[in-house]
Amino acid sequence: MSIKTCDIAVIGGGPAGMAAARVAASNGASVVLIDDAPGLGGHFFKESPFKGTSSHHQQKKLQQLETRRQALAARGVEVLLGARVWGIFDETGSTFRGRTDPHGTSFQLQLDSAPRGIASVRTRYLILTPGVYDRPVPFPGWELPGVVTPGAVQMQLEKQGLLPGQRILVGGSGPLQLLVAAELVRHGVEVVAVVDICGALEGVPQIPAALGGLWSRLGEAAESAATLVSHRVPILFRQAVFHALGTPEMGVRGVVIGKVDEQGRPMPGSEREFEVDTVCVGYGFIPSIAMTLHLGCAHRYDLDLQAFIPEHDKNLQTSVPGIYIAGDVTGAGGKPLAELQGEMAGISALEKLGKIPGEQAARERNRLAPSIRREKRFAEWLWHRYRIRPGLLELADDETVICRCEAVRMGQFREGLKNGGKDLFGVKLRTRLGMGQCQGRYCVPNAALLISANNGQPVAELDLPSIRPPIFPVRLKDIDVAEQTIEENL
Amino acid sequence: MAGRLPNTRRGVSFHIEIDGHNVMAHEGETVATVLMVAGIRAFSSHAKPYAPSRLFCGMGTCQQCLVTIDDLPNCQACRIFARPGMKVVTSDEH
Amino acid sequence: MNPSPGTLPNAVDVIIVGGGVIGSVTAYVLSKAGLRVLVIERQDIGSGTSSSAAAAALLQTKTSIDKLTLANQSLKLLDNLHEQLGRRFEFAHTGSLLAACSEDEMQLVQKMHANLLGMGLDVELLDGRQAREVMPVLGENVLGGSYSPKDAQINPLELVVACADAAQAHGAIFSTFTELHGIETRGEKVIAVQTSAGRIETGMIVNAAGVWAPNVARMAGVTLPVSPLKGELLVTERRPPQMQGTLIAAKYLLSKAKAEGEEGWDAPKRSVGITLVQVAHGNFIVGSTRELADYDKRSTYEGIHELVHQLLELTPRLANVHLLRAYAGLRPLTPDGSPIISRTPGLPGLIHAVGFGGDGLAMSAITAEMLLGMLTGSADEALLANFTLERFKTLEVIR
Repeated sequence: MSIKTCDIAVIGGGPAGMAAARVAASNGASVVLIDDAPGLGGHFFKESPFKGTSSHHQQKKLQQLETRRQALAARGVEVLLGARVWGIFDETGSTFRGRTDPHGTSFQLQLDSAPRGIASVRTRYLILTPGVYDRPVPFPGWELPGVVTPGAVQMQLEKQGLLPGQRILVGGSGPLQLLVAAELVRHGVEVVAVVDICGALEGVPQIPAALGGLWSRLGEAAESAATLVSHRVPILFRQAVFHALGTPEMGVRGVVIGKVDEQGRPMPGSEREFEVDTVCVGYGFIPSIAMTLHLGCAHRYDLDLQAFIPEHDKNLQTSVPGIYIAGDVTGAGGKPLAELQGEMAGISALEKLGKIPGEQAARERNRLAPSIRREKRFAEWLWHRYRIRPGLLELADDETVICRCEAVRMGQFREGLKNGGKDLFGVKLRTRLGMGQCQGRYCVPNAALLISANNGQPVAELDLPSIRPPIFPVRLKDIDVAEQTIEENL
Repeated sequence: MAGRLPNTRRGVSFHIEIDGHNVMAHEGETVATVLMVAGIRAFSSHAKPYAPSRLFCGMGTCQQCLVTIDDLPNCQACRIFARPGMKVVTSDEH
Repeated sequence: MNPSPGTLPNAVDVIIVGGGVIGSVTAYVLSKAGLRVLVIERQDIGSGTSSSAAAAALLQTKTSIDKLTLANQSLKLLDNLHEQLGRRFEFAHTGSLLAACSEDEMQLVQKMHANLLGMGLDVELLDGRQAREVMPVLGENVLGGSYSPKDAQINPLELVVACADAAQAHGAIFSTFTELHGIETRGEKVIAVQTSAGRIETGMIVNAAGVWAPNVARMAGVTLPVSPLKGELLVTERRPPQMQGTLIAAKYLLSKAKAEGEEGWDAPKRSVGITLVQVAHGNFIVGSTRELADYDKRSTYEGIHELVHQLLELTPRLANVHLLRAYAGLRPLTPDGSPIISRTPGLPGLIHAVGFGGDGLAMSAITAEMLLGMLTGSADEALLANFTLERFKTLEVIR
């Protein structure tokens, strides 16, 4: 088993990670790029092993992916695939949590699958591009087989050529809903309706001016809407999925939707039921911060996403020296922003390494900055329109599970709050919320909102769970690796 | 029910075993895909108070698609590729 | 829990500082006996060392007849407590098996076994086959072990919550997220405490603040020789029930002895000897390392790796189980490894119940009874003589 050493390790092989790795390697740094999928591309470039699954539009994207792959190979980036980093330790072997004065000169990344016999990577600088994941909001029946996220539908469709069902309702809120629904319809799936908690024109008058490329962004949505309209798929605004119907063994067989107010609160008396075999529902995205929490980085709370995001300066360095971030984890800003930020993070790390002089770094940053600002303005507008509305948490009744991994019901959770639970530790103590397999990823963001509402304390002031290792569940045998020796660099 | 996109060219096909039954799979398909196409949406038993495993996020994050493969429990079905002769069991608790 | 600001009583009979296992069990016992009790806890109940306990209350790891007697008594009291509280904290006499993987370890186990028999504990020496009958998760390389049927496993946080609930039902008040700012005395009497929630008059304070107990003591000008001994632990995913009782690696004995300074060994920087228990929910808890690391609760790669390695050496069958959490706690350790359950000389109203090392869970019930005795004038002074603060006047304090 060996330890690979490098100057810069990039964790996450999507658009941001590939851009960061390419820029870093272009300027003489030794770079390792790590991703847990069998191929690069992240969640933007979704490559299918099967011919004929990709639309013309998708094929063009995949050509871009190939170009990027080749650029990385040409620059000698060591790509480690199928590997997850389960723990990151400093040069003394300790985790970083709580450390206020780290040396920041060495990070040891422990991998769970030893690609090519490499059990760990020792690097001087870290660029994290972990992305985001779909946010669920619990409602009665959301645990039934057949209730899936928009990301899952896209992933299965594009990477596996799988249609999730034959009669689907698409709901929730976010920029993906229309796109996913239109893709399904184009493939012959019956989409009974698309519902969105936003108002149709909500936020439209505030679209930032002088955006450039705006119409191509909105164009995709408009095209999807047109497809849906031409297939007579109702697009219903200010409505939400109230209830999925079915049994645990057989899965979803129906869905109930209804009206919500501007706060996302369900308005009883407006229910309609549809027969479906699949419910595709998600409410925006949650940045994947398990790794930055693990590393002791500071986070700030975003009120539109209602999620924590790692803090970073204008050079994309986090609060821990030597650790940079880029891409969707900074706020679900989409692919163009991710690539720009990837370059920016690469440049910042290169400058610290001494591989490029300060003036060159400044020039590059100035080149990138206007585009980054523009993309961020659009992202801010988008996430304000699709912001998470706390009223959505009223969709759950006492029996609805809020922590699926430990089967904690909303009623139990509320009891825990009444019995003295004031923070995430307190509810974990009294209910086991967050102690299960997903390590709190899917329950903590919503639990935080509920605790905040109960205490009258802003979520931003709640203590974040400390993410101890492992960052992902890892089998004991994959930790019990043999003595590691440092790989000779060629 | 779930189905494969028509008009796609899949690679080599082979069989895997799901709960003792032979089910066709193609190289490149994940265990989740094969289960879904076979009409199996509950990937584990329904041991109260826990709900059965099933496809949810499709990206390996939610840990809710857990299934037993070749006697190895708690495998993420959406991340593991089907291989000839694989044995998948959906009656275990996860 | 947590009365609204300004509604704490002006005066109570006893203030307990610390809402962990010692504090909550004591709060229950005292309030049940009719005392008016206020618990001051600076975070949430159980948030200190109690949340990193290894979930076992063991008899066969006790190295002296005094410690064993005390542990026995305490387990009996825990039995009663479990019944009284509606069997809420998963307490069960599932036994423990001290397992050896090498001839050296087997010899150590045999020696330990003989000592324990001599002390009157019902322990049985098993060969490898018998050991695997008791614990089928054990690997073929286990040569044998010592089995103690009366040892118990326990859910520490459920114990804390159950006692806190029951104490409050008897009128105790728990003020969480409340900091202690000062202790007021007049001559040899305790008069009051100053907290972030106001001033409360009392004549009795129980210092049950765990590794932070020295800070509390310092407020009254008292030096408490309690130092943190870090222990790393692991929690796995839930698995179907496949193990009864606590597995103890023979290496644990070596590790504990070294840390407690017994047998003249210098305490090494870090030593590891695991315990393994499968809790009621199905997760496995693997404890623990022993390391002097001040108040640093960070996990380490070596700690995790060593725990996993020792575990898989004993139970290779668990190789495929997923690790979900690695964390650490701080055991409050005294120089001689025995707790301090003692009035403060010159200030008898300040009573310390500290320094339980890794035995806080097991000792909680008997400590509460001893405190009740001290507060109601019916103390077992002979027993208490073993746990005085004064015994450290001549000992070097570990820093």
